Amino acid sequence: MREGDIGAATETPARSKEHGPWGRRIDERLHRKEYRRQADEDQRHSTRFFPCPSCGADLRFDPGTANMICAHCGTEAEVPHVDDAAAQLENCYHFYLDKDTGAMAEEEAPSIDCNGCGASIEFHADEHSRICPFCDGAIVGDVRMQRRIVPQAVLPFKLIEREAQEAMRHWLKSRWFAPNDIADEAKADHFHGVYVPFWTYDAHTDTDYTGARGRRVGSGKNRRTVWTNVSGNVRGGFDDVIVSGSKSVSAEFKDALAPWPLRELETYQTEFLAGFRAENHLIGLREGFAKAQVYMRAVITDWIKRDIGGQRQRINSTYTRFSKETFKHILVPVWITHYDFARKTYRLSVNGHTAKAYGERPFSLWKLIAGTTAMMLGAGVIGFLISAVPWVG
Amino acid sequence: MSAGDYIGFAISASLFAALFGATGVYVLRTLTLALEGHYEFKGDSLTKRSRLAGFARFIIWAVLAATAWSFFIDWIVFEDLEFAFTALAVRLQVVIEILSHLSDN
Repeated sequence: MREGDIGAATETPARSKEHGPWGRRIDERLHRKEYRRQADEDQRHSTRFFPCPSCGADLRFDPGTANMICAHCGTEAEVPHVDDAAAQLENCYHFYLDKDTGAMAEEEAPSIDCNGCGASIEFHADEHSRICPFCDGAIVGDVRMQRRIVPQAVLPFKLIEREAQEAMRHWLKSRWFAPNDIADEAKADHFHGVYVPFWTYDAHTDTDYTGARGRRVGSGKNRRTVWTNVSGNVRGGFDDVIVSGSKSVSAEFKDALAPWPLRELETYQTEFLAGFRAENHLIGLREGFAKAQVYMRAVITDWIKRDIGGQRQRINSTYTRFSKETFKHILVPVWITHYDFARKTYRLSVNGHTAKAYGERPFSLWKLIAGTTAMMLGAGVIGFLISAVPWVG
Repeated sequence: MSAGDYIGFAISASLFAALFGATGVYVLRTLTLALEGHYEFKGDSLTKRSRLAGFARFIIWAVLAATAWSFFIDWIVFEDLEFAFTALAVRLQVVIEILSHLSDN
């Protein structure tokens, strides 16, 4: 079931038949009002509002369940279950690349670009408070409809805001060399539930390389490395290399909030997004694959070094052929907040599915100085032992 | 040791403490992030790889600090700067050997 199926039947206002001395004007006004209301209705429909069948308030997805819930009257409506196979479907990279992503389904969403961090975030025209969830800056500008590729799958939110707050406190408490009172003093104003776009890539690689294997010979001053030229081939596959499609969620945050349980992906349905924000992808299919390749090449370098063997390895040249490249375009849930501590603002995110938290953190300078002093004393003890050993003295 | 030697020792030791103390704060910070990264970052990623470089920085710092300590201990115990420098040269060779061995692995 798609958007609007839940409580989609909206009442059309009855046209006024009343005419007074200014009957025509009133009629025009009512006509305009109806037109505006109809336009609002269309927008609500396209911006994924799901009116409560009981009271008409907005339903929102209830994290951790398969339901939507009305915050006003508590009415629940089940998110319809659709074919899960579509969520795990791997799309041919070259097919979509050749068509310049034109073959992908698109949808329009009311969005604003944040001038502060560049994020393109979904906002509704009737929202008065426009704060960027990523940089916490006030957003000015008009909401405009932006086209975006429809994700094929979504990892629904499992955590509610209170659980995200708890995850944040737990994370802050477990920081080493952090100020003692950080967990109690850190003040997070508000958590924003945001669906962040990710790409996942699969590929098979076949790499030819040339290099050299080093063997250490001799001892003391005569110790040297003897190099033997080698060449070879390594092959291997990559499964679900994740790349953020957002420029606001850096690779560091993406990696830290991992693992993303991709087995639990649900086929994309707008009901999952109700009550949350969704970011439009700013990193495209091609750019995303280039980022995935950076990681793949780092792993391939490890494979080559292992293949070369010996005590030292040198890689002179590599040539990698990528094949069977496929991708998925998904949305993942992230609770984003900023907390203030000692007049500084730190950014923190919580994986909306697994409760894993990660963020920027302060260090206690005094604790670091104490730790460094301990390290210096430890080095002093080792230095004393070294100076006591005759063969190095 | 003459008074001049003691002053030289005090200045050198202060410089050593200042240099290794300041770099130690930075090294401890990166070591903390490396340890947190080691335990928190699940799976392999480029961020995790760069974080783990903090371990290498700590090892290099610790080896150099211990070697510098041994120089000062030699100097003050044997009251012979020349001997301390000779011993330091030998130890630095060993340190380079250890570090190159570690880099191989």
